[in-house]
Amino acid sequence: MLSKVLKRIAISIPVLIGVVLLIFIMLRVVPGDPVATMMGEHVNPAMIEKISAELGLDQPLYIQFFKYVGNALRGDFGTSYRLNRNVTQIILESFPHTVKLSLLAALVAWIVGLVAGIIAAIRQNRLLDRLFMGCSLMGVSMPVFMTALVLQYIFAFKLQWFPISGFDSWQAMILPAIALGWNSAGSIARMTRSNLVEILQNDYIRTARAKGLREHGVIIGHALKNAMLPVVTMMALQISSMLSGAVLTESVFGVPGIGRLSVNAIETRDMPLLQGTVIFTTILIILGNLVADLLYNVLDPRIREGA
Amino acid sequence: MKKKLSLILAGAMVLSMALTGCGGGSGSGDTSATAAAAGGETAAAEADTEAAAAGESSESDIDTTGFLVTPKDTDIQTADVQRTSADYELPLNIYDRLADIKVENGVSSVEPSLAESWDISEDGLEYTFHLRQGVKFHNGNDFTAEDVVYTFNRLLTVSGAMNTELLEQVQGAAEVLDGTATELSGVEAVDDYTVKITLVEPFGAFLSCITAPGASIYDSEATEAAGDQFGLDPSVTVGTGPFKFVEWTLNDRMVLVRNDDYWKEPAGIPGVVIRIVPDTETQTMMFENGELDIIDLDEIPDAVDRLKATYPDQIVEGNRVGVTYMIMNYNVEPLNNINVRKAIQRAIDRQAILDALYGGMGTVENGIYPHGLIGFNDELPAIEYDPEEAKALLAEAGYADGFTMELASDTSAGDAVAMTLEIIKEQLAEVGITAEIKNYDESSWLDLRNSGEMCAFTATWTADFNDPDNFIYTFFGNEEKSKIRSLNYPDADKMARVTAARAMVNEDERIAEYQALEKEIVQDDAAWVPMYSRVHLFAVSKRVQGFTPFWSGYGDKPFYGITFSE
Repeated sequence: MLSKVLKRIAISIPVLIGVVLLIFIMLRVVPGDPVATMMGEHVNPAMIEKISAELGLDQPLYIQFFKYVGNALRGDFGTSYRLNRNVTQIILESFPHTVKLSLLAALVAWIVGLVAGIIAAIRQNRLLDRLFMGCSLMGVSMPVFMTALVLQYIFAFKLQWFPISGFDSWQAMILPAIALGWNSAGSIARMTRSNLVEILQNDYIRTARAKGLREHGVIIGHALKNAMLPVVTMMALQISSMLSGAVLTESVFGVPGIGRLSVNAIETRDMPLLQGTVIFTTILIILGNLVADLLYNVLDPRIREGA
Repeated sequence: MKKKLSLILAGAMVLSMALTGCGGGSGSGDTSATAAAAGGETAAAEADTEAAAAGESSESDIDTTGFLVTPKDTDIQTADVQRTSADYELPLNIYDRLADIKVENGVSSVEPSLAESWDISEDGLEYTFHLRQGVKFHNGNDFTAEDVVYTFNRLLTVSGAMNTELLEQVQGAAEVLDGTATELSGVEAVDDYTVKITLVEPFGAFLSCITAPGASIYDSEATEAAGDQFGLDPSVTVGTGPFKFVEWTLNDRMVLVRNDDYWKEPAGIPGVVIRIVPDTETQTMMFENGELDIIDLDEIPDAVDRLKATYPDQIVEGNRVGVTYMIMNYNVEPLNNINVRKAIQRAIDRQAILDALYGGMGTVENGIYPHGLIGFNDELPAIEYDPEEAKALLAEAGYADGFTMELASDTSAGDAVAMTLEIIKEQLAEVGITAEIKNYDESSWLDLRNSGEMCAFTATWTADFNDPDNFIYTFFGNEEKSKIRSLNYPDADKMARVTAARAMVNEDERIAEYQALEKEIVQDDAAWVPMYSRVHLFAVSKRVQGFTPFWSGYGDKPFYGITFSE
């Protein structure tokens, strides 16, 4: 098990290096000078030159790259051009908000998705099934920012049940979590339902029923655990879509997280900050996939024994 | 199996609870160091983990009940105004300057602030400022001449200095800027409360320059001790202004509290919360639900009519000493043809744009100096909207069938700018010119413009200080400036005259020369298309009284003078 984890981590390292290289090059290929952007209307060529030199931007690209990687390995991701602060510090400050939002959203997705999926499967082709599947279709098809705007308009602006913007109280966290989780909830519900429906046709289920088990015993004890395998994989893979969705959700609801940080960084060509957020996000996604693999191991004895 | 599954789910739940629970403390504490309000502590407190450990959540340390709440769409770069040319809201409220601009009934004057009075030598080279006594910085330090000397030296030498232009004319500034001197010889403390500033040559706009937000006065001791944390860590960012900077939670909010020891009457409100709300639509909703006290309507042209109808008594109109203009590149065929440029000037119905996009809230401008600026010329001939004449001019230039040009749009500039370009495109089409709008993100747009290769664009220039120099020198001061600003305006003689005018000592002659140059460059050469100056609208909550927007029309709001009606 441990060796498997280590192997996975080892495989991730080239991925990480590739990502760093790619983002580093991409940021320098796109037009737009970070210093000029910082100065905006008050541009002054002499000053651009001076500040660029202070930031080391006048050096050849490969030197900039190796310097960056060298510092990054020592945990120093540089100083944000725009915010003049240590990138690590900024990310560590914003990161908990994004994690909080993503986990709450995941919770929403898993609970709502699983419950709706199970109920829909049991009540297959009946009203409740149709209703849930209709809702989940909406969840799957609606872009995150639209869900966010609709929720914000109805529940925060019109009904005033929740604050419109911010992330500093539990009330403020509810709408962003639902907005971000809704999409995944839809996918999870649909997947749970279809797996469960399929498995409920199996002979061993008929056997379980025949030997007199109560229906919920059949579902939870026999059907669900087999239906869960692909769902669990998907749940873990949702982490990356959660993170991309977080960018939009955070912008709509004013959550001070890493997603908004990246958007601002792109707009202002704040290279150190953007590189930092991309690396952090990459690590997070790699970890998410690792967790998915491990969960799979735990859930499916065949894989565990095969390893 | 069942147990395992529920264990996993329970684990996920506990994990998220734990993160929810502790996030409030760790998330906000890191850089939102809370200032040790009073007391003379100026030590550069390291503002990270310790702050988080000291208070569970710094957000709750300051009671912001009764504070004015206003939004910003993104964090400021820094509150160190010497290192930014964009974010003036905090500097306007936490620092003071030697003097301020006051505009009353359209007449602008320089009024004393930290300097009680000043004398200018006859040759226009020496400015002697007599400083106000008994003024204290937020940390309790006395304000003295030493602070002025320190501040102006730092303005030129601090890493990332962005407002050096304000002091360029001071003796020794060039040497400090190019590194051959370390001290600014032209600024000296005569005694504790007298500062003498010597210029290289007379500069009529100098007094206006030191009223700019960029010339805010710092505490020498605290600022030096704060090092690069000045402007970032609220506890070390002190000034003499009506508000103290006490909290900055990145991406979330900044908090100012009233300075009860202010040298004037203390502010009428206990404090200000500047919340970061990235989306302007969200800002509007929050305002309508009573969650915000002041919003800037500049950013939300769509909502202006609705807000004006819903809250007719809560709209504040501010002057804007700023001109919206369109510039055409002299290096691009056929925009280098004077008749083509004149045709474009006449093909654009500026009043129609003003009416369509801004409900007519503004004035059509015919020159480079907008209404409200010193040197504004009432007698400048109007550039009339005349599509027929435009067609005739095009025919004369040999483009009777029109031509194709590009309009560069900065997508970050907001809906109103995008719509302006759309209308211009339509209007140009009517005289046979095909304009193609091309979208760029902000950085790419600036890159292209700074290269001098952009075909044409519109933008607005708002006064940094109240003098025609700030407009004409910026756009037509020399070749370097004209390349970026006015896309390669070629007339070297006129640019030399613009530069020479700066040193004219006789104020009337100086203004007359500026006005002559304005007429020649903008109207005779048709170097750019003057469009309009707009009223700057804000919506305020019912309780807000006495809000006066900054004289030049910045979106950055001064909070001093505001009171609550309850």
